[in-house]
Amino acid sequence: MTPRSIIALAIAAFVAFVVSDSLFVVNQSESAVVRQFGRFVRETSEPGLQAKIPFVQEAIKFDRRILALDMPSQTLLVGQLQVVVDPFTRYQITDARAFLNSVGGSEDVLRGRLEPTVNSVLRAVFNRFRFEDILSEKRDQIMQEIREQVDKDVQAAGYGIRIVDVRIRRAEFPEQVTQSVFTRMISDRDRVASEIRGRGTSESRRIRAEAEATSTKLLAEAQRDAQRLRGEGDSEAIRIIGEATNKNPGFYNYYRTLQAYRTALGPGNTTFVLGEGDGFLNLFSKPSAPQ
Amino acid sequence: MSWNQGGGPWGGPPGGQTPWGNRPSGEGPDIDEMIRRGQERIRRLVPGGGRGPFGTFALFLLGAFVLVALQGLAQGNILGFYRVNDGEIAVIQRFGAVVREEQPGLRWLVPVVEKFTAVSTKKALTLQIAGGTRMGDDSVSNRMITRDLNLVEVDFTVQWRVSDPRKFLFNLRDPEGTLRLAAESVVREYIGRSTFDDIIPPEQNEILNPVTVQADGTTVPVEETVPVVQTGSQVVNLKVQMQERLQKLLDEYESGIYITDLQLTRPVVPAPVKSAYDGVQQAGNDAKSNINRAVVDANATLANARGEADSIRLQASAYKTQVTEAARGEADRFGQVLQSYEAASATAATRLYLETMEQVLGNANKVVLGNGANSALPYLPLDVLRRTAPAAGGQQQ
Repeated sequence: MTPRSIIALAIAAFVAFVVSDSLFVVNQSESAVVRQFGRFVRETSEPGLQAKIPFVQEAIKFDRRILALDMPSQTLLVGQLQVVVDPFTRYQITDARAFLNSVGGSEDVLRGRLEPTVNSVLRAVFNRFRFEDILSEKRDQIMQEIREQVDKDVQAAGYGIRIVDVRIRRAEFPEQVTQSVFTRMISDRDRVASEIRGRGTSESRRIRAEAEATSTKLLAEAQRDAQRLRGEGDSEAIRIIGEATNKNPGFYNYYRTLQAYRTALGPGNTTFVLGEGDGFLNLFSKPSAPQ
Repeated sequence: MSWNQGGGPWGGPPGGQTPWGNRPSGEGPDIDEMIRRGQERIRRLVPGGGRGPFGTFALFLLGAFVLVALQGLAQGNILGFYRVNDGEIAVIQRFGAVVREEQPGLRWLVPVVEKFTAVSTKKALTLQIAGGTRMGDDSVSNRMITRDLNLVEVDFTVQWRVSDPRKFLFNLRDPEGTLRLAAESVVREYIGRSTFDDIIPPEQNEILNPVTVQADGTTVPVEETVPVVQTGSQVVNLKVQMQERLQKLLDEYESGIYITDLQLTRPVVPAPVKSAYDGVQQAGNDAKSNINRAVVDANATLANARGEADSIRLQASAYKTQVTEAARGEADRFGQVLQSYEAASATAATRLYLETMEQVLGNANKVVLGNGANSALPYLPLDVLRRTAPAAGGQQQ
């Protein structure tokens, strides 16, 4: 290479450098602060190619998308209950200049500032509610209140950000409480089981007793019908015999008495003591036939 | 997070690897030598032999051309030409600013100045959140607290796609991470609003619907039957609410994400409670079999009673037949006797009497006393008379 071409190359490099330093690209997702020897000149969130004075001005770019701050879990007191919560915060850099000046444009520095703020607000707000509220529809309202409070604090601190929202990713009981919850759930289930068993026992008893009662009723009804039938039979018999005997009651009396003698005094150990006066023996001592 | 890395919905420039990234390194040939050879080659190509001011200009143009081509290749286009696949939308940025969106097909952009990012708005993406699956966070569990302060383990799956590439690319630094956190918080929120039984419906126990065994042996439900709750509907309802809430949240972030589905894949009872929970089912089964046995017994009892009742009725009916028929017979007999008696009443009565007495007295022990027997009667040893009776009776039969 000749010295001339080296010089040409150097010049070209210098020109390229000047041109590149007088232009900067602001991405769609970025905003930028332009400073001149440290003095704030302007802030832009207009994406595209922008110009600045080379060497004299510097462009500092910031992400203006919604950023996440996922915070470590911590134990809070909600009402009377200890609860482990994992909060997360979404924020957005709205004022790049303020952001730059307050936390040096560093998200890590901001994290260090924001975490305690969110935590203390969480503590303060949660403490006013019962745990049940956090689980209820009130949760939205509570989180909204937290968001607003954090936002207010952040505005007051002038970090140049806005809080998009604060949410609880998870809320859990500490291990000890979890164990006692399990114990309660187990006893609860045991209670339900015993209720079901008891129900089964009483149900089966009821079914048996009902069957007994029904069968008693069935038998009683049968007895009732049986008595009726017997009565019918008896009355029918009386009627039939009555009809027959009414033709000659005197003879019936006579005839039936004789029949009764035959059956009642029938063969057996009956001993008759008869005298001559008895009808059957009235011929006993009268050898002649009556005229 | 850069969107040039794989894993996202964007299929844009080939991630990471630049076209020259694989050039073998190490001791190459002498660079001066290379430049010299290159110059010679170009001289041969370029008109004018590459000498003079015109030649330098041509050299410069060629260099610029090569640079543009290489830069384009790095960004996935060939001299500004690139293709957008079906289902994708390409977002074109000029110096970082979004200038337009392009539909599928062969497209062109101004090289160097513009670059494109293609995002699929059709691709179905899945986010699974299950116990212990989140990276770098061992403490994560899928245990959630329900409204009645029970714990339940819920895994869930979110199906999503990009609905607005521009929002998706430029509004959130970490859209997927945001989706994950938002989904988790929403699911927990709604689990917290539900009762344990909403999420894990209890077994439908038929015990809740008491039955009774009727006299004819059929089993019918007792009137006060509890209406059957449509279980599962709560879960479906919950799922819909969660999905709506998550969508709303993502819309608030202007995330450009559309939730196509949210499923609770595995709501389960936590392990320590499992056996107690199974115990309830066990109790239900026990109770059921207990009741079944009772029904069996009831059926037996009732069958017995029905048979007994029938037998009682039949016996009575037989009695009725018996007495009426006996009466009929007696009546007929009497009627016939009466008839003959009326025909020969003078001797018939005597004959009947004598026949009867003959039979009665003929078969019995007798003591006949003459006149004055009445006074002697008190002195007769009745015991002796009685004692002789069986022997006498036995002979007479």
